[in-house]
Amino acid sequence: MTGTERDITVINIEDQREIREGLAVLIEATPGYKCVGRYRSMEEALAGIGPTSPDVALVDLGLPGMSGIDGI
Amino acid sequence: MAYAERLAARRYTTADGLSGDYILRAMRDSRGFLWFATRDGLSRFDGVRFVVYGAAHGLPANTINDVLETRNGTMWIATNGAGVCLFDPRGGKKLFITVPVGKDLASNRVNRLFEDRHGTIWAGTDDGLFSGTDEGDRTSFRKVTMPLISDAPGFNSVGAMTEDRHGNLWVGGNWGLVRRLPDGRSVVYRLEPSSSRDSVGALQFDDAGRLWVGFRSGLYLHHPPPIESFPADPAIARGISRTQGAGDDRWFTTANGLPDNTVTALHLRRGGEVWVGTQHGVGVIERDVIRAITPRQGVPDIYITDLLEDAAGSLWITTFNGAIRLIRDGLVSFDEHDGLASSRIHSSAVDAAGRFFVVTGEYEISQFDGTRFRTARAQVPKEALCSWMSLCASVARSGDWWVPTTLGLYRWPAIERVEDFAKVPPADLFDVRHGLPENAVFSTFEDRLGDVWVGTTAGGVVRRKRGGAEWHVYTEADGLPPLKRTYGRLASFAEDRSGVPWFAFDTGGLARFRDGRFEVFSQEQGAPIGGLSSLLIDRDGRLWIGSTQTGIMRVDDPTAAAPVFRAFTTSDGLASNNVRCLAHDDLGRLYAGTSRGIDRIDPVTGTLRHFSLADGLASDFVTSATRDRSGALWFGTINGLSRLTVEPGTPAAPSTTPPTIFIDAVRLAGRDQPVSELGEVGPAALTVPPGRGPLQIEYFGFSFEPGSPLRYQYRLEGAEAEWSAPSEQRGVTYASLASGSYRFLVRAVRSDGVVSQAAAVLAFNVLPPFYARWWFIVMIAAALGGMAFVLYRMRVAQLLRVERVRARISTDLHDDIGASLSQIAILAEVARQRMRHDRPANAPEPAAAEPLERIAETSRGLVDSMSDIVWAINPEVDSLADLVHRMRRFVEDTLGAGDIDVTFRAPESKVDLKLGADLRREIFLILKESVTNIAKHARATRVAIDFENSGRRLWLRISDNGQGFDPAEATDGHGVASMRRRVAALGGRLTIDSAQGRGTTITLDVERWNQ
Repeated sequence: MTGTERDITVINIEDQREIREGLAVLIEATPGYKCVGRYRSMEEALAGIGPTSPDVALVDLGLPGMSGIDGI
Repeated sequence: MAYAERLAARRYTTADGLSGDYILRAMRDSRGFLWFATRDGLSRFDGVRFVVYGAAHGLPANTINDVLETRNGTMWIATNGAGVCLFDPRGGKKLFITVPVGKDLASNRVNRLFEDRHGTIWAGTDDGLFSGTDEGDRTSFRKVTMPLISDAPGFNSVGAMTEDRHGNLWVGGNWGLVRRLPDGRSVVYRLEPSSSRDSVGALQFDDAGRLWVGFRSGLYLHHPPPIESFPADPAIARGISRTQGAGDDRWFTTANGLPDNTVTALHLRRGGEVWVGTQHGVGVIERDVIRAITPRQGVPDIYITDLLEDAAGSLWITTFNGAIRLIRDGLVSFDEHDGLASSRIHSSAVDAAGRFFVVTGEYEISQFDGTRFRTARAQVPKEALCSWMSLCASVARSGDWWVPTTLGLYRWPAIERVEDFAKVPPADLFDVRHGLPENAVFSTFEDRLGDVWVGTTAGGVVRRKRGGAEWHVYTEADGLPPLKRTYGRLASFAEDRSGVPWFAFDTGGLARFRDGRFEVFSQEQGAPIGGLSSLLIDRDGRLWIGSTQTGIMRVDDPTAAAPVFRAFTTSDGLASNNVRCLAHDDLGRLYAGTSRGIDRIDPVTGTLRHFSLADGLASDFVTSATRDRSGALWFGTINGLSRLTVEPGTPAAPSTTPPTIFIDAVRLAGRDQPVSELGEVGPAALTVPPGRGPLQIEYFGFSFEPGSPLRYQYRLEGAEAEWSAPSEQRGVTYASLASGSYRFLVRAVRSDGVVSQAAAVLAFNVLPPFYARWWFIVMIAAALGGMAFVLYRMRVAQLLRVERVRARISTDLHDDIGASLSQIAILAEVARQRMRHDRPANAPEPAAAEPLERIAETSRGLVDSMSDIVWAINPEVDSLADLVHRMRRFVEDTLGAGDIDVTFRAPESKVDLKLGADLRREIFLILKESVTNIAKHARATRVAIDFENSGRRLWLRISDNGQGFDPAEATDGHGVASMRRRVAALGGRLTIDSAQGRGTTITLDVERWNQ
């Protein structure tokens, strides 16, 4: 892991807490990837992403409220 | 007409179907039926069959006195005690409608019915005269008062009525005769001196307008004076002298030849003869001369009740004991009573003077004197025999008589009278001493040159030239066959136009004698086979040959070098092929006497007329035939002699009209259908329910022509194309008929071949059974269609249900279990990461790490398998295109990453084919197994996958160039066993072609199902 390359930022939108947290752990554990946000719903993610502008969003398609597809 | 001989009479009684033998009246209706009123009901006769009516048909009395058909065709029946009846031929069970005449019994005993020129019906009863008045649809009778001779009770019965051409009504009864003038006045005729026997039994006008009055005391001929001769007096009386007539009027009694003085019936025959029926037989008045007809002539001397003629001109005589039919122009017969010595006739002959002779018994020769025969026996020894079929005596043109016997041939010179035979001995006896080959002589013939030809019993042929004394015997040298015996005896002889004699032999053989030689005709030349009986040259020079076995043969030109023979047999209508004799009449018609009567053939028209016992023929076995100088034909039989008088150019009148035909009964399953009692030409159409039968149809035509009964032909349009063979059968029964429309046609055929102008027709329709009717077929078709539709709907619903279940399972698997497995995999991974993250840098791997990894791996594998399962059961991807898509993706995923050259060829179908879930899954799994094997074990550099869809088959081939394996030794690591199991379940064929180092080719061939 070198400081010259910026890590790939990942956000993770998942309504199940265990999965959301687990995925965050797995992302953090993977070299070169950084989990920059965890959201329970699409609405929450759209409100919170703001300036962070992540490289990758892992979206569960079946979300309460706005669906993953609609959010994308 | 001479009245000594036996007439052609036939008697009809109840045995023939008549309702009763006690006949009171007879009538011929406008159709031709003969009606007989009897003491036991009413009978109707069509020439062959009697139909009987009685109480069962609605007749109110047993004794029927009279029958009348009015000019408009209404039938009235007079009963003895129950008034009159109207006959309704369409009445079914109620054929007779009773109409009372008077109020008491006497006035309802109706003796006589009469229709006058105005159409008024007159009823003569035991209580005077009644006249009928039409009152709309019914008739009522009113008594007509007349001045009666006697007012004594029981002396006002009317028994006879007639009308003259001036409109006078003549009424006779047990009180005398009354003439009712057109102006209503009456003239009463009284016999002087009067007696209790003045009753009138019959009235008849003749062609001269004279009235014949049958009294109980004799026959009175009256010349009615004109009306103007009567004074203008309301009551006029005239006397009739009992002994002599007034003016031209005359009395006839037994003294004048009347068989009896009590005259009961009178009839004017066509031709002018007046026939008289009396209490004791019948007489005939011709030119005012009476001859009685004797019982021996065929009419018994019993009470005669009526006289009439049928359509064929036969005279019917009704009596208290049946009816007698005298056939017009029938054959009259003669036997011992007419002077013949025997009724067995051997031969007949006409001498040069035109006298007619017959030879009977043993050389008894009879001469006809115009009414009777005179007989004498030729003086030949008692032991001389006259053999069967031989010509026992023949007369030559010279007048010489030749008499062949077993003792030799006798000759008599011309005789004056037949009695001379008994007195004059024979002039010559020729036998072996004179050069005959034997004494037994069979036949003798004289030719036109006067030569005498003799046939001997052994079959010899001998000739003596005219004037010569030498008998020349012919032999083989003259052309006769060596064994003359095979030809039999000389039976007949004839000379053709060129004078050549022809010879017929009685056991077969025909020869002619030309240029001094015999020429024998063989069967190959067409000559008749079997015994020959007679030869005849007709007036046109044709030769006719009668055979006892093969009918008649004709040679149109007997002078030809090779004569042509034409046969005429029973198949041409001949009554019998056993022809015994031939003759022809002055009209050129040929008569063949056979063992079954006589057949007359008209060579011009080809028509045939048969004569038999019914025509007055003495016997049906005819032995000889001769035409006398008057043109009459004489037929000898084994039981008498019959004469047929040929009327020049006038065949019997009715034979020019074609026979009519009627259907008179239609019975379905034994039940009468409505058809007129008197028959109909076209009865109402009939509908026959299915399975109902049999259908019986009865028909008839009037068949009064004696000896020539009508025959009938029928045809069922819709089933039969041809008319049936003519038959005397008067009905046909159809036991069962297929459904359809039919027309039954029947026609009558006369013996001369003339058929009815129009057939009688019965149209009927046999209904099909219920299971063959249109509505039933439509109903069944609709029901089947409905069932098919319901089944289809059920099946579609079932398929939809299965699809819904499959969709739900695949969704559930994917969404719930698939998602959960993914979570397990993720969480297991997370747990492992945390464990690794939390442990000290150089601490050993915790013991839980490995199971966690296994959990994650298994979960990922399960997600993978789940994906296949979800795909397999998802109904939305049941198509070939989906399968190909998934196969292609799997191959790319599995083999795309390595250095393997992969080619994948799959069908490019325009129409996406539906593919069942099972087949789709199994094919994919086989591909998966194979490709996985390649990826794992093959170490191949090239893989080719060909997938083809050809018709109803799918064909998949996966080949690689890897190291291969031995299929026989393949462990289940290759999944070969599971592949085979899958293919077997699909009913397909799997071939694995592989060997170590040679790559592997797996081929799958399976049928594609559409479902």
